[in-house]
Amino acid sequence: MKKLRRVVTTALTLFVSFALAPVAFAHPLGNFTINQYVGLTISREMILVDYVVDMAEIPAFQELAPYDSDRDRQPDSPAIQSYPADKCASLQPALNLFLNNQPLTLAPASSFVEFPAGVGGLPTLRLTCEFQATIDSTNKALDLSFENNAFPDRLGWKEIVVSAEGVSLQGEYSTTSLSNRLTNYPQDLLTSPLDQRGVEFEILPVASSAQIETSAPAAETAPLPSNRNDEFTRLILLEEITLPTLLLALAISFFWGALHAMTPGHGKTIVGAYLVGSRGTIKHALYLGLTTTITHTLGVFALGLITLFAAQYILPETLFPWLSLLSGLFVVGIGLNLFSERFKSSGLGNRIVSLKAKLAVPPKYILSSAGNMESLNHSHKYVLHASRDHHHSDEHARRHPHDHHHGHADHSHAPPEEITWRSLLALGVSGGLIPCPSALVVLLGAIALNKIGFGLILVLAFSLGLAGALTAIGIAFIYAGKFFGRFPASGKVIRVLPALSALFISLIGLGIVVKAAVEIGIV
Amino acid sequence: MNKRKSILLLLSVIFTIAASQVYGAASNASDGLPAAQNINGGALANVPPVEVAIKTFQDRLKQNPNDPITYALLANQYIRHARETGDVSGYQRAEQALNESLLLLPKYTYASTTLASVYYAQHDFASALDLAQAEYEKNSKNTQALVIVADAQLALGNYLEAEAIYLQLSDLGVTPPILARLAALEEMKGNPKDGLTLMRRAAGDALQAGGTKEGVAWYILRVADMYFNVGQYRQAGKYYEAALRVFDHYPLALAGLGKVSAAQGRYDESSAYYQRAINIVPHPEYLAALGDLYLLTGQPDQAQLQYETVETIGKLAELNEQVYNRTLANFYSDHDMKLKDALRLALAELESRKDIYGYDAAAWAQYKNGNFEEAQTLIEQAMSFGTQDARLYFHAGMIAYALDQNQRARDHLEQVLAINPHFSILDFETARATLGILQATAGK
Repeated sequence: MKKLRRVVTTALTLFVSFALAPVAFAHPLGNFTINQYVGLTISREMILVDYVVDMAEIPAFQELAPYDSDRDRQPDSPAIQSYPADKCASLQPALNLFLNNQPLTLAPASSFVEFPAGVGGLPTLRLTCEFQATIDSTNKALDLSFENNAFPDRLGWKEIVVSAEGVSLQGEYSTTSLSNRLTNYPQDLLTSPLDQRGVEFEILPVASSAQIETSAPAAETAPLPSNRNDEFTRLILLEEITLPTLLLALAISFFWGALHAMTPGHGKTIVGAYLVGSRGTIKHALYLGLTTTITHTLGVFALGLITLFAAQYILPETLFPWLSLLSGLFVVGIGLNLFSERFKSSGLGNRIVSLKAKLAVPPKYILSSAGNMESLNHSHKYVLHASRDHHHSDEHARRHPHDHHHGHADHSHAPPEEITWRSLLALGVSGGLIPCPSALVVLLGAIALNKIGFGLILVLAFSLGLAGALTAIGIAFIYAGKFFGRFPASGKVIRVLPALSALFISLIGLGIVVKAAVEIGIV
Repeated sequence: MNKRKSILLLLSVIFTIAASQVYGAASNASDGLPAAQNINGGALANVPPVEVAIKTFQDRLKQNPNDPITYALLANQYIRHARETGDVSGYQRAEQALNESLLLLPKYTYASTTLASVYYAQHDFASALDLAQAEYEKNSKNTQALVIVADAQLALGNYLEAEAIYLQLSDLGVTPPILARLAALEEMKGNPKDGLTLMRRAAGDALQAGGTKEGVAWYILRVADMYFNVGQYRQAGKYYEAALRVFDHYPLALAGLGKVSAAQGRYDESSAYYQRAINIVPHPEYLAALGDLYLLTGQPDQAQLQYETVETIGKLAELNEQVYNRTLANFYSDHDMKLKDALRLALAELESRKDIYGYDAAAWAQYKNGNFEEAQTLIEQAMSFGTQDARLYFHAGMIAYALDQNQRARDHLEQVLAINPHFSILDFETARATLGILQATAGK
């Protein structure tokens, strides 16, 4: 008891500001963590290293015991005076700075230690070391890398922050401290301790006011608007399922599915464009919708099963980029296939081309009417082409039976622009391949609540909504095509547009592939 | 002997040899655990590291903050983090995440069952039992809840209830988790060989089935523990090394190797292992063992530092209401420190948890406080299942010796040396010395 009182008194006298806090909390990151912060300041002639170590109660106790002569758990030995300088010197070899791959010598500049009170007046330890190194970045670019190898096994926050003074830096690094130099750790459930052990960047020779800085935390993808999906995911919580509520739930699911179809990243423009571009009929549109529905539903079920039974082994998220990659490859393949066929047709079938020229409309015209769908201009030019073709196949054939006949006859292989069921299937699959995470949540929620049947129906309705929107887009294009197909148009550029637009489909597919590959880490 | 008979004889001989071969092969295969040196974690590389998994689920929740399933999955990864690092704060985070999940989806069985397992991990066995029991009553297909019910019963000392449930569960499927629990029961009932057989099978199956590195390493670690408990230090060492190969930086395996090298008299090596384990997680048991090693090798100041760190952790644990009670009570009793505290902690723990080691800790604290009669009643309770644990026999022997029951003391201490002489770094000498005195007086 006497001992305790002495601890408290010492704590009070030594650390008034801390002891005044009504309750002393445990170290926010656990009482045996060693947390480290490294601040690198780069100027033209010098690199300053601001190194902070924050030891929680247990490592602080182990560290300070040799300096505690009267065993009151407070450092009192005179030797503590030299502790900060000695400790900084002993940690310095673990802080490795490389300039153009050559180790750079760090010279100690200052050192300081304090012992903020932790739980029950037990001291924690906060050591601050400053080092510096001289560089010359006036007339050449320098590669700089830094590694922190101190306390390798210890749990704890590890942060590296870089700032520039009068120089430009290029690389990926953080410019602000999330923990405010280990004084204020983010504590919500959704933030993990940082584990930044190294950083690499380039010091550019000419100082310019516009610094090129990319901060790592800021580079994260912006979160999707969440409230939208939540409406859908909450449906599974319905307590009593009666016929009216069921119908309402299904309608809502369908609606959110349709809305989900409008979010970017599913290649839906391409799907719609292809459909109408290749003499599609409403039957084709429906077939496409069905394929997408089935693929999406199966995809959700499959991922749901993975999440339920193999979450320990595979994270469904890691599969998403692969699915994107697959979907992108589908699109590239479809585009290339179209391109090769159209290229041949634009060179060989002159009469077809002249006919096409007669029927085509200027690209801008369609663009303005269809431009609100999605932002891919080129695919809309393709839509333009598509509408003409559709016209060709359905209506024009009646008026010019000869031309139509010829278009089919002079090729030994399947006529260009003809929809093949196989390519439709590929497109449908590519559109439904990436399951919507909310649909996944609904399914898992349903399983969790033993309402599997209800969940399946909701997911199916959601997928139907998704496919319905897609089909609707297709049908809209078909009718738009018919409408604009009546306008006369001319121009040589129209001749190559079909082939170009096919190429653009491939390019969009390639874009999806590259983005997915970057996410996976292949490139 | 006619021809037909001799052919028949020949055939039957061939058949017998073949059958014995097949049977032999089958009985080997039924174990399934490779020799320790052939075990490595190479095949288990596919599971995402726990930090990656946590980050994934956190990101998912940032996009969809009202997703109860992901909260539960995140909680699961926090549990995994706590298991892998020994940092118990992971359990607190898991509890928070599960409460979030249940707030969003109150009837979410998976979340409430996982919450029960978190209570168990935090040594709140009564709450774990209540919650798991309630979940199981709601849905009799929830075998996960039933496992927790049995685990909590086991921890609380209700062995018969626990065993009945494990046997019931093994009818549904003999999985590694069930095998491991049946193995622990056999060990507790004084059948260490049967326990080891079951545990080896569990480890072999777990290695086959795959999973997280820590998950698989744990089974191998338990095999090593069981070898150690029967005094087979070489085998124990091999399997601790195997566990460490499967999951590097595994603090439990490092401490196991510390235990083995100390038993084999390699004190410097032992210190190094314990130091490595302590660098990862400063567990009181590792610090105490390291202190004992320093004391044994004539470095009392270093020993003192380790012991004081244990005390500091005890103080922190008390302030944070954490769960090192029994460990601390044993530590104080073993080192003749704060004996009143030791008794208070041990008796308080026994109030809520009447398993054999609860009785043992209370008996040992009573003995150290000079209450030998009480100590003997308690240690008899601890040994009522016939558990072949050297530590129990050592305590029983010392208590009997204090009560002048020399024959009894001698029997018990002889058992200590027969079962696992190096059960403790310091007590080995005490056991041997006391037995020496007893044998000398008996010889007179």
